[in-house]
Amino acid sequence: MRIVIGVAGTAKNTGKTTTLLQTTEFFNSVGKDVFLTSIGYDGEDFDNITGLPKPRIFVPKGAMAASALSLLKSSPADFRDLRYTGVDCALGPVYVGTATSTGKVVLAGPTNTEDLISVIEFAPSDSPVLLDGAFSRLSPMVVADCLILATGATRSTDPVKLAKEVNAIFRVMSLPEVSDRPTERHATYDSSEAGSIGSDSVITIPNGLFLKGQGRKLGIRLVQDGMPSNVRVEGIVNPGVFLEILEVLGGFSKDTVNGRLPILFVFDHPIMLLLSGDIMLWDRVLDRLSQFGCGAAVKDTTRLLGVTINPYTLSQLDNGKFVAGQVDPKEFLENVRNRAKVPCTDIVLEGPSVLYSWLEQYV
Amino acid sequence: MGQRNKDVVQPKKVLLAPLDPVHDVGLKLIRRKLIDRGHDVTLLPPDLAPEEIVAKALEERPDFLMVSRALSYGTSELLAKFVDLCDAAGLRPSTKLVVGGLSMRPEMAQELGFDAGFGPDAPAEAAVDYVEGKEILSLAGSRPKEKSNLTKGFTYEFLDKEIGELCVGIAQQLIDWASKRTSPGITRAQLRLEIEEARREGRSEELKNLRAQYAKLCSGEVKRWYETGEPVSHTRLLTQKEMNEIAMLRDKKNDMVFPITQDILNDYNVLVQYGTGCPEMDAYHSIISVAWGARGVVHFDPSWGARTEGFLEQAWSHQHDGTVITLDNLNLIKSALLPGTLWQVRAHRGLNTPETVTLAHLSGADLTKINIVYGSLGAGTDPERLAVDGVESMKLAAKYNLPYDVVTNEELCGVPASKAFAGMLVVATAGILLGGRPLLQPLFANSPEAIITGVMDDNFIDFNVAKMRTLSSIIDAPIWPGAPVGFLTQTQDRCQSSAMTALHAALALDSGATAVTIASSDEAYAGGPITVPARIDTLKATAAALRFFGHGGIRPTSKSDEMTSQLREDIVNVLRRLSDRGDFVASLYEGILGDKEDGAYPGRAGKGTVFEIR
Repeated sequence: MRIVIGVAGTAKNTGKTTTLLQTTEFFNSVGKDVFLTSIGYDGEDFDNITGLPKPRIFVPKGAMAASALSLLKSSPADFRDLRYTGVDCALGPVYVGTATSTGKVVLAGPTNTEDLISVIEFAPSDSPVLLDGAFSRLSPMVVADCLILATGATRSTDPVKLAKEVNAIFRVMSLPEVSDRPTERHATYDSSEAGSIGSDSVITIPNGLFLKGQGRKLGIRLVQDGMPSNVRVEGIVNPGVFLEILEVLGGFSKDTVNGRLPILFVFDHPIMLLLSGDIMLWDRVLDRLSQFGCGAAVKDTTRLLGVTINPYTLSQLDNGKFVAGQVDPKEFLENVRNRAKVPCTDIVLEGPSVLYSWLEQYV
Repeated sequence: MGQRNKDVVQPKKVLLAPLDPVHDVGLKLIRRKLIDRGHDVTLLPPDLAPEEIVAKALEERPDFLMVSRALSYGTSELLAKFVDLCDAAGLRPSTKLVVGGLSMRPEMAQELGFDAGFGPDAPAEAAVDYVEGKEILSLAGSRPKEKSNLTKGFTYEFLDKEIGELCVGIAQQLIDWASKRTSPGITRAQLRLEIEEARREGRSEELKNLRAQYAKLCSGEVKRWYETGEPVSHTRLLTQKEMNEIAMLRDKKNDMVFPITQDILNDYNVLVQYGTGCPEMDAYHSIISVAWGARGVVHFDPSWGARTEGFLEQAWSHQHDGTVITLDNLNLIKSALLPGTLWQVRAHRGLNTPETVTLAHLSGADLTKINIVYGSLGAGTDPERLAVDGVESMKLAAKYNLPYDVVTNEELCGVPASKAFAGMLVVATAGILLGGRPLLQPLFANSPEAIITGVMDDNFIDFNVAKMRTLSSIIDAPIWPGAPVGFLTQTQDRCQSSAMTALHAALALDSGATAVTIASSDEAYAGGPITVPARIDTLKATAAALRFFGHGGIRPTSKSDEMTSQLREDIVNVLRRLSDRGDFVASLYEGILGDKEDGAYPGRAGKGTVFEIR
């Protein structure tokens, strides 16, 4: 079965490319030809924004890559069997090809979920698919089976804060999966429209909850019009907006809400909870849900394998130029690791063995 | 635009959103253009939260959602988050996301996850094209695939009959004089043809003999290399790795795509000089220059090439400026040039001029350079020798159908423009009489003459325009100012140098120049290799200057008219003196085209090497 591994970052310059390179190297070392693509643009010599040198992406001989045709053609890896994926990106048509020699490549692939799914179809079933992230983008990573998160001092030089954020992400990504097919009576309720929820036991909120006020409106209706056992929220959910629901429900007892059983809130995917608002608020949301006896689950998930910690820092001088630096790598890693509830490593400091241990299960 | 408005287009629904606290000017411009084309456009107010824009887009379900935002480190994360929101909200399958703003480039748009991105250089029409489904036209540049023909349409007829008659008489005398003489340079050019033919056909014994003959006609370190194999100072053979890298460029060049933002110089013949010393770097510099709008590149060799008899063979890297001329080096560079690149191969004003023309021909160059007067009076080559070699070179250029420029760089010594132009016109006339297609290359700079006489104290326009007007009133021939334009106006300040270069280039092209050669902004004071950013600086500055003036034109003062008249009168006087003297080569020695007072000294390299043909 094909495995799709995403490498996402909490910010730019957190070490995604280095993590991707080592992941590629791992599969190469065990004789697996990977299929590489990026949801952004990666592998260039110098960063598009800071102008600082970047790690290059090397594809081993036999690996496949999906990238803009011009970039595959200009790669010294000499890609053959070029095929159009039917997807276009900002740099032109995205093709897949097989590297006939080891060489550098610049990746510019599908930038949205639908296109990414189409492109992944070109990967052989026995090839691990590696998705290279961009900036702090997460949305297309919903197609990944598992995720390696890159974070570090460009996100925050405070290891305590960083660990808290990692834990919040981990908590959201650890929400249990439930069936996508509710069997009870089912209705759709658009939070932006007026109307009664009625007595249906399962309701669906399409188009997400991410605008201020949407949560409060929904909460009031839940209380006034009926209390379903199961609320399925499709799309993006902002924790601040979601808290509005809980604030409305706050006056009710722990065991029952308006005389009904506590609600199970079902979201599309944990990543849908990480795209809008302050991630740290999810801790409060999940705590309060628990206090109410309500639950949270997801229809589908991506497993968080571990977190790579990068001590690299970036500061901007008065003249606009960026200067690279770093915090103490050992101290920084230890301070994050000791507080984090998810495995952490610094690939440069510790070597790739910890990362490899996360990946061995996919060989 | 008139034609564009007549096109039938499928109206699209476009939502414009300034993801910025205040600025929405770019989007307003695009809105106007899109409405003109019949599209359904909604412009949102500035400073909405990304979530609010996404909510609006979910309501409107537009075909295109265009956001604008100036880019910085922090705002890039904001844009990436916005893209994620659009994706997660399910907008992407039906809505194309477009971003525009300062610092935006297609690569940046791709990294952020947008379907397209337009920077400040992109015309609003590019966004309109994109909406109308012309993605390739909008995002990929249209670098010309056909080479410019710089001499096309010129009759080479003298419009000034008096000057024409004088030039023809003097030039004919030069041709007649040269036809009775030869030199080692001429013999070597012939031997080079035979050597390369023998090499191509693998006739090793003959090749050995030919090389031995060739070596006897060489001097200095080049002779030593043929005899002992010891490299010329500051050179080394190119490594296999370097040659492989050039081969990689050769193999990949046809697939290179450049953004539309770099197309602005397409309508102009702007050439740049390279000569980093290393053929691989030359290949990169050439590609980058053309990628940024140059229509052509100019090869020049190390200055010792002017004083040393003979060329090396094989592929060499040279430690200092100027790239060694050998057929191998030229072939390597040529192989990596982008389609449509005009390529001039020029030698450094000296003892190898006929062989340079031969090698330019063998390597497939489009242009070469022949400069009898400047090489004689400003660059150290014996006038008699360069006159003989120069006439032979013009014959070869005509035979090989190679246009060439005739330069007036002796002005840099202090020679007045009137003398320099008279010499250039005589040499160009000789070229025309021999069946060639010369291009006039006046100096377009703050020359010593101008500095001393003060003709450019008030502005740099009047005198330069006077030069262009004078030449174009004399003969219907292409004028290619340089090389490079703006010489002696550039400093170690790259901003200043770019500005000066750009303004000179714009002035020259506005004044009717067929082409211009420009320098990189760090060329005059590089103190080392010329850098790629400096190349791009100058090309972009030139593009900006041309955009600035557009069809507005540059207007000289009335003094320019006076200068034009005076220059024409002075040229006539010089030509009369040449004609009266009746011996062009003797005139070079005697200072009619520039004397010691002007800073011109007859060169000595190659003195005594001209022989009469019996």
